[in-house]
Amino acid sequence: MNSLSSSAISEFVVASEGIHERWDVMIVALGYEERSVHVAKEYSDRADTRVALAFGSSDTLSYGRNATILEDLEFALESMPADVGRCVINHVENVVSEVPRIAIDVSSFTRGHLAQIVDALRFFRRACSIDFLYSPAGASNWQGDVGPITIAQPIHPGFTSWVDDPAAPLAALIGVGVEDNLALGIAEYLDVSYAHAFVPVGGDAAFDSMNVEANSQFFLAEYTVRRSEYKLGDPFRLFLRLESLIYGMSPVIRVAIVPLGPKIFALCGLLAASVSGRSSTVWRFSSSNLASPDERVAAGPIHSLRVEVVGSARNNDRT
Amino acid sequence: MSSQDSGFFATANARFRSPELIARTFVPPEQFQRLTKVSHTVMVGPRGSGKTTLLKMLTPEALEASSAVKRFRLQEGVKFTGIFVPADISWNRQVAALEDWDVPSQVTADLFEASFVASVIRSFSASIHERLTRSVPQIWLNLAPLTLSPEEESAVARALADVWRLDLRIPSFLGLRAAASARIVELGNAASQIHRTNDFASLEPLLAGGDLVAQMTLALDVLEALVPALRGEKWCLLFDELELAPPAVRRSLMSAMRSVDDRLIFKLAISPYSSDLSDLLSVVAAMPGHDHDEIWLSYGHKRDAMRFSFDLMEEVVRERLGQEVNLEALLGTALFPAEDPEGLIDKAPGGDLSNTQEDYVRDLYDIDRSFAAYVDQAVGGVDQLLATTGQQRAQYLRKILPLVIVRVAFRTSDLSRSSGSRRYRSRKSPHIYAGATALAAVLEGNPRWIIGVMSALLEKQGQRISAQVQSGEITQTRNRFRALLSTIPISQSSVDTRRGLLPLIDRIGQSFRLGIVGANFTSDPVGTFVVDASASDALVDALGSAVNTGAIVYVPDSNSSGLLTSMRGKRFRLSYLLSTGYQLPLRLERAASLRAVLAKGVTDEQPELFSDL
Repeated sequence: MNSLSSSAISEFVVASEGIHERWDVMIVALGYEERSVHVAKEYSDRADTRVALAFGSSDTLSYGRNATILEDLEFALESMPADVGRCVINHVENVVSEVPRIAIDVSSFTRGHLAQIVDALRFFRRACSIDFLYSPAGASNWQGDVGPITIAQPIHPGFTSWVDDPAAPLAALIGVGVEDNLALGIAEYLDVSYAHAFVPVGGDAAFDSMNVEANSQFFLAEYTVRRSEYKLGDPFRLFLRLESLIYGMSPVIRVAIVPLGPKIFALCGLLAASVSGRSSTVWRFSSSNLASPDERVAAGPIHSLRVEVVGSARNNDRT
Repeated sequence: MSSQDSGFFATANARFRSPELIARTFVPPEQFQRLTKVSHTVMVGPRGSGKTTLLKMLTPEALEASSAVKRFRLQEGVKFTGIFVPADISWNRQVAALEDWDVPSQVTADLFEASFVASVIRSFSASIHERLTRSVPQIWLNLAPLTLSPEEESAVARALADVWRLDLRIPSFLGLRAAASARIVELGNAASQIHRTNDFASLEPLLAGGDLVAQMTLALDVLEALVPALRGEKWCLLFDELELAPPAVRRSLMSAMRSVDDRLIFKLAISPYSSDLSDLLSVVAAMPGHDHDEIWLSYGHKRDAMRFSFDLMEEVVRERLGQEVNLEALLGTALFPAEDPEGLIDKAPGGDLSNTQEDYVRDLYDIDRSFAAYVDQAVGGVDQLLATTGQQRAQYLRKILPLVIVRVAFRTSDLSRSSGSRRYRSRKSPHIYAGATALAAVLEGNPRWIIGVMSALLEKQGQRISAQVQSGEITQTRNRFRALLSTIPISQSSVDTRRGLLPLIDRIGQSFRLGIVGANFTSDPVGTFVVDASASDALVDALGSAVNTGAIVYVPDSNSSGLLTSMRGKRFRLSYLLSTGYQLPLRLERAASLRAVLAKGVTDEQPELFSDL
């Protein structure tokens, strides 16, 4: 693992939705879901350099076909690195442009990978502009039973929270999915005093009805003081809401973000936690690799969220 | 009132309630007087059993509030200043997050120990402030009143900051607390970057300072030197949820306790199953200076919990309704016969069985051929059974009554049952678990459940709470508990636990249900289990998690202290809250080996475990 100076901390701002006309580098994940090539098919012609980070699941679902498609689109296939964040930093460092423009398709990365990428934003030396792209899943065979939970911990060291007062109330901001009673179980496990349920809308109708069924008990719990919807197609607004909630609560309350459901909630939650400093944590609840793989087809639309990274070099100059 | 006491933060969870608020409605269990003694104590109990409440009640803030509301009395005033040290569930999980990134384990351990020590210093600073600012009558806090001038406080705070190497911005005890908080945040910032920076050298200034006891002892020396009136006073470290501390921190704490200063007292709250509980107990037993005590906050035998459950239920009612209300008048009479050694409820007029209970016996005799055969063989018929007296009545009637009730409620009649049809009735709850004594049994003496369920019931119906509403609240509470059990992470290394903790508990419950409700009647069915000596480590760990959450309850034999230092060979029952989902009676039944129970627990007729009313 390469080392970075502890003083080399960058800043970034989440700017808006929007898609650049050209990117220096586009990074996607090569996975077994059919949708993992959707963004590449739509937008790869805008990128000068194309990189696909490949999961090692060559005989699963659409993986083989996806690999062929990405090779045809002139993506360089690389093995999925242990630290995707470091990988992104390295690609940015190699770009000639003064302010590199990067596209990252988050649709098929794991939530852990997203945490690595967002964590890495604080360690960029160069300023750059990153478009995070997201392709929601269309009609799918959604599974409510995820199997036994084997991992329950902060998603990444960069998203732990060392609170000075463990006795302060804990609020959970949970992006709910279709897993039966998982949000309820997590709220109980974390011993929350307050929960805010974020329900995705604007995606697959079957997902929406399963979501209601899977979380009916959670929505009834007395600590679930708010159930609100967010549009899959408006990640910038979701980010702003999460950031505002953390900002408003964190002086007196500890905040835990739990990204179940669509990956776009995970991305927005990680970004909001990161810009809030050390006042919130992001948790991962996972059945590890025991859950059976499910096919996900792309619904069609592609949504984006732009992050402007200041870069530690410029940050240090400024300070 | 602090911000955490208002609005939606007024929860049943003592963790988020201030000591003052807890004191206003505190109902002392019998163990509390022991806890107030000047002795090192290990207090063991599952989630929600009241450990946090009891520890917070030993702080000057809570004792002052108690002296004002006078809801109970102490035999004598507490002779130490309690320092409550809270825990955070993410502590040990953060270790795992760091170790995933190959941060050296020693660095991780040092970071967490430094954070833990800073957390104790933070609490200690606040407690010094409370000790010197609260005016508590000596029958509650038996320490001489003492105040310092601002100049004296400033001098002490500066000296303590030097000892603890804190950057003191405000020279006061609360300033010390703020400085300790800042230290924790600094450590957190370092920890969140170390996986990328590998800059271990910059951590060194934050990690210096020595172990916890050394820092506390030195601080007491300074305190006594500058405030002679405090010489010889005892300070009691109240460590909550010690199992949440990373193992390295616990080991370090135990090591430090072996040479502890006798001005320091330790009261440690921990879950029942912990891999190092045995070590902890022996360390506490060997600590110099004071006696030691062990307190168990779980009730394998229902009768032990009933007095406390009734007291706390009545207190919740009094607080909510503003008046004393008889629980039987509010909740009704339970169908299950009450184990009532202390005369908590009025006896039914006209005999030991109510008319409804007699009807249940007659009903079962009519619809259950195996029961009819049992009765005929035992006493000659149902009329004879109901007419029995004395020892025969106890043996043949009172003993089987809980079994009769669940079989009538949940078993398909033999008259309507054809070959291959369902063994169990499909109807949902017939409300057999409602009523004052049954509800008290279901809530297990668990303060969090008692406060949560009673508050919800009183919210719905203020005067007379119907059996249907009670059943609905039990179902909702049980569903939440089941959701928790399905979320607790478990090891996947054994076939015993591969499906998760909740399916394991379900198999046990289904096995008991088969023997008690589904199979031919027996007056002595299996309803508890003993963990086999050959149980795998993964199974024992999973059962340990079940004990810690209160899903299963240790049933100590009469010669046992109640402390659980090993799972193998020990007897357990299902919690009564979960038992309501498996349609079981609320009492101890015969034990069988867990292996035998699990072998029986696979059935194609799953009870409706997650039903909504």
